[in-house]
Amino acid sequence: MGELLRIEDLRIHYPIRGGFFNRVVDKVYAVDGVSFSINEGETYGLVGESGSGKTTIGSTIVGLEKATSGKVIYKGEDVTTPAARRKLNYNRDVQMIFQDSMSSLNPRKTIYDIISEPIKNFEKLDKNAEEKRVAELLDIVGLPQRTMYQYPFQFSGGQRQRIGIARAISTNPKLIVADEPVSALDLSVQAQVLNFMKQIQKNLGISFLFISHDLGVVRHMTNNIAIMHLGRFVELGTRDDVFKDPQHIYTKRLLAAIPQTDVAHREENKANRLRIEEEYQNNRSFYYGADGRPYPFLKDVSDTHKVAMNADEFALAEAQTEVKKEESK
Amino acid sequence: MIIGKNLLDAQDVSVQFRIDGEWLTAIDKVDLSVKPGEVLALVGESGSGKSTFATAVMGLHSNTQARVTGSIVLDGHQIVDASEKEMQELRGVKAGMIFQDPLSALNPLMKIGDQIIEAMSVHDVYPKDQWNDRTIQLLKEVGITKPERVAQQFPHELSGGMRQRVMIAMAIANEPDLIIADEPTTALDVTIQSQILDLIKDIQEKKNAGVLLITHDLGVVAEMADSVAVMYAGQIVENGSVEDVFTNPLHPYTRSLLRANPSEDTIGDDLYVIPGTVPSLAAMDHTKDLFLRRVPWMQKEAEETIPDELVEAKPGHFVRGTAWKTFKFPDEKKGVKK
Repeated sequence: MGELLRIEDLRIHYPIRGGFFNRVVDKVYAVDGVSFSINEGETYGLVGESGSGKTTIGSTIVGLEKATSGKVIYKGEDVTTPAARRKLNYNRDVQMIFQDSMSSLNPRKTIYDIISEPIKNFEKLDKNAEEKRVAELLDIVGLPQRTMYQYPFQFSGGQRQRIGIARAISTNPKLIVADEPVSALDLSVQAQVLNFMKQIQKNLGISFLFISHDLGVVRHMTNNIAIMHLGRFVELGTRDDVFKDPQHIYTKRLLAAIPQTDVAHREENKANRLRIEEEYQNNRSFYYGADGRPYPFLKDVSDTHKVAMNADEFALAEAQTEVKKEESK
Repeated sequence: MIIGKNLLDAQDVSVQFRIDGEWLTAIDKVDLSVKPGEVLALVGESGSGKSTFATAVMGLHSNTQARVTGSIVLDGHQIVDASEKEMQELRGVKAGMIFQDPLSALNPLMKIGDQIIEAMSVHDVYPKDQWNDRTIQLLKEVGITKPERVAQQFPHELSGGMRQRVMIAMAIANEPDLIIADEPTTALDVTIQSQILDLIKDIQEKKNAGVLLITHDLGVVAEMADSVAVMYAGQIVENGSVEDVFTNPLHPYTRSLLRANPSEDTIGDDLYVIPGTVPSLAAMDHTKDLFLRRVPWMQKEAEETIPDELVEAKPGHFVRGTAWKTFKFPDEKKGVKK
């Protein structure tokens, strides 16, 4: 499996304005130096609590948000500028599925209009061919042909989410950024959408960037996972690395907090959760810098598994870079 | 632990809504009870009637648009035909409610402290001169570290988890015996969720209160509840202790839900998909096992009329209809060839 997309040291900072002449007084470090890569045909999971910056990364990848610095590399070229995206057909190859299917579908347009819009945008098809293509797409997502001329409000949540998926795959993309695609859905519908995403991945070879706060769903769906906290990665690795051998206190805390359907062990789970919570409260400064954020450097645990440094390791790494700087002078 | 008579006793409760001049049944003959010190979880998909039931217990259905029949007895008080004035005296004192979305349940123009005082001022559980102290004490109790400061803040200044803590403080302000929590953690992050659930559990244990927990998250149920009632299309389809329902689920709906839940064992497999959706109110024929319409291989059984009463499959474990006796998933059928 080759690499499809690589993110290098991506930073997205928002200025906070205020004071005299509305000058920039401070910055919000929404995303602060993250690097990862997505392979062809795999699902990459991006996990974190609300406000951790995971959606900002997703929006930057599809080009809805401008990167402050860093690179998004596709086919060997940086695609952070619109011109580069146009040249590589990037906007066609990378699509997005949104969390709230109701507000991401235009209520005044028919399903035909919604699904055919990206096709009109990127391909010049005549009326008949276009209709055939839309019918085909509806078939793939399992909706009957007659729904073509209905409006979004006439569908259930799961059906609407599938319309969103049909729209995303209409341009034959290589990568779909799925931002919390199932968090608004009931369990039975969630299962349907998740199975469906796996199936189109198998049939069409699409890669997914799966953004979610639900670790149960992420474990079910993804091959590789990155855990984010406050704009930085705290841990990344394969599914087994992260779930079976968590290193960072934040990852442990997240895993302990997942409600388990295991009634027999619930007292143990609770005790474990409280123990980790206590360690987190007492040992916070060991894992988090003076600014309250995780340390910016990652260290290797194994070939696939990386974790944010703790205080000691960070001090050591800092000292080493100082020495290097001195030497180069 | 679980002692004494029922705190909440709902018998034969039906709720009907008037839609386009017709009365449609949203909840059909529900029997449920909560004992002091018991956490009862009411589980089901959206549209199954969980919140409608909670609203009926609080007496919050409109008189003209909804019709509640049967009997709901809350600590000795009949709620179904209670007047609005009687209800006002019961709400908050006998039963406190925690809502899903604290931002829309809190008044954005009132300071946190004033809102909690308002909850106390409508009842005379606490005398006026204790209100301020009690507010600070409540905020402390729900784990807010700077209660004096938070009492002077407005809802928008607090995080989602803090707001939910304030909601809990308001719900327990008058020491209710029953706490109704309607999806209390659905809008929260997983780490905050576990904190809030632990808090509800601690308060419940400390006060020996009963909790009616409404949720669609099976993990939350397994962590919190003593007993579980599974609801589908306005009816209870299975009811029993949390151990029984999770280790030995009977009704096809419960078993399908558990199979649709992503877990460690489902990696690499497809999840079980329950086809179709919960039927609309007009299409609900409550004399049949409505879930069977969503089981493709049991269409014949779906047309059979079944008795209203639940069957006691094993002591304390009740299930609706007869389909559970023969229900098998397609892959199980293959396995059990004899």
